[in-house]
Amino acid sequence: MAELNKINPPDVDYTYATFKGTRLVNLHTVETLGKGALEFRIAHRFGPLSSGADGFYGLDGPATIQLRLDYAVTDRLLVGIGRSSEKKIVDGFVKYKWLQQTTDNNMPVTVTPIASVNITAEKNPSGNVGPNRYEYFSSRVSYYSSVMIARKFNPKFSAQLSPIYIHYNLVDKPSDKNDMLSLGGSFRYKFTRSVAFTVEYIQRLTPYTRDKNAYNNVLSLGFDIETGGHVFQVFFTNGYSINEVRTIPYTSGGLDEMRLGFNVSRIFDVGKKKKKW
Amino acid sequence: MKNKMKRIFLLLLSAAIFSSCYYDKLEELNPGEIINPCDTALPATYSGSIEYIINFNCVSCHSSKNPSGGVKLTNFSEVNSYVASGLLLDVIERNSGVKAMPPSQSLPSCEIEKIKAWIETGTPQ
Repeated sequence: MAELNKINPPDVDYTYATFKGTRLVNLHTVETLGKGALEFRIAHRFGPLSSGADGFYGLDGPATIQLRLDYAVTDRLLVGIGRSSEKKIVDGFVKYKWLQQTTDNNMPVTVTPIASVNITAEKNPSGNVGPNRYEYFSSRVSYYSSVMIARKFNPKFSAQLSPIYIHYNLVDKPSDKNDMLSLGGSFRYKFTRSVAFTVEYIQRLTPYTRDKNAYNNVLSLGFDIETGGHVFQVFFTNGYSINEVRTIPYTSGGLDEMRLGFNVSRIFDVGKKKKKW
Repeated sequence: MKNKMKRIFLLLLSAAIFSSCYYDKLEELNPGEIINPCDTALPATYSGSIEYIINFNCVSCHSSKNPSGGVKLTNFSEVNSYVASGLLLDVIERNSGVKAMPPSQSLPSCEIEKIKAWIETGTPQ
């Protein structure tokens, strides 16, 4: 029997669907997509709830939007490109599901590293007051990376920790740091087959600027609703920007500036079709 | 063999992505020309810091060309005209009864403090 096992090792039972999709609110999850899947994503953040009835509680805007296409090269390797309206950032990422949780707990967690390059296409923001911020192209570039670790504790509850490293090629003052470390916590609790409650919190860890208190950590609370090939994610968050390199260090609104937002995704299967005889 | 190729590819990709990594500071690239409105040593005067804050955050919508809500903020007298009535402070503090500015998200708190100090000292130029 032992000999047979050497030739044909027993199939490993991997834990399935730790999260419903590749993002929770602002952050990535450990999930990738099935090989050949092309995911079209739209992310939207409205104006603040505090704009009151006159601003229709933020629905009147101003809003920020991100459009993207993510493609699963293999079951474990996901790549994507996107563009965010805030600061006009174009980004590209690579994400690889390195370790996968197994149902027998031999591997208790799923570990997925990710890296992205983010380039801002905006014109010089200070107009004609002050020098050209983007004299060098490299000044437009920032990087995001994380090693995400998640566990599906039971069919209802999953949790993820994301230690995050952000690097800006250009920051303002000599005392500002180009490197920033933060820690994201993502949680989801499924209370029906298609609806889950989600919480995400990002804590900035390092003093990347002396003006750190001018900005806030990001808290998000919401729901994932899955129907057919779509996952709708609706939530309240104080993060206005959608790209992580902006949301994490430069969210100037606190809890008094929560806003409605949503992520919508649709998966198209563009993988090679097997010939049927 | 396939796994080894994959690993090499990923390594090369990471190297390519991170090879153009810089540690630039805007103030060092342009010595003497940069304003950080949150710098407490920076004077709370129009030319010292307020003009920069308004230009950076407001003029994209409140320019001479197509001023949102008819509000222009392109020079000292235009900005100053909204101080006496308390409107400038009301909107940036997002008080009830007025439309909060900037609409998307609030100014960083230190910039609000700078504008407050400017108003309290009689809006020096």
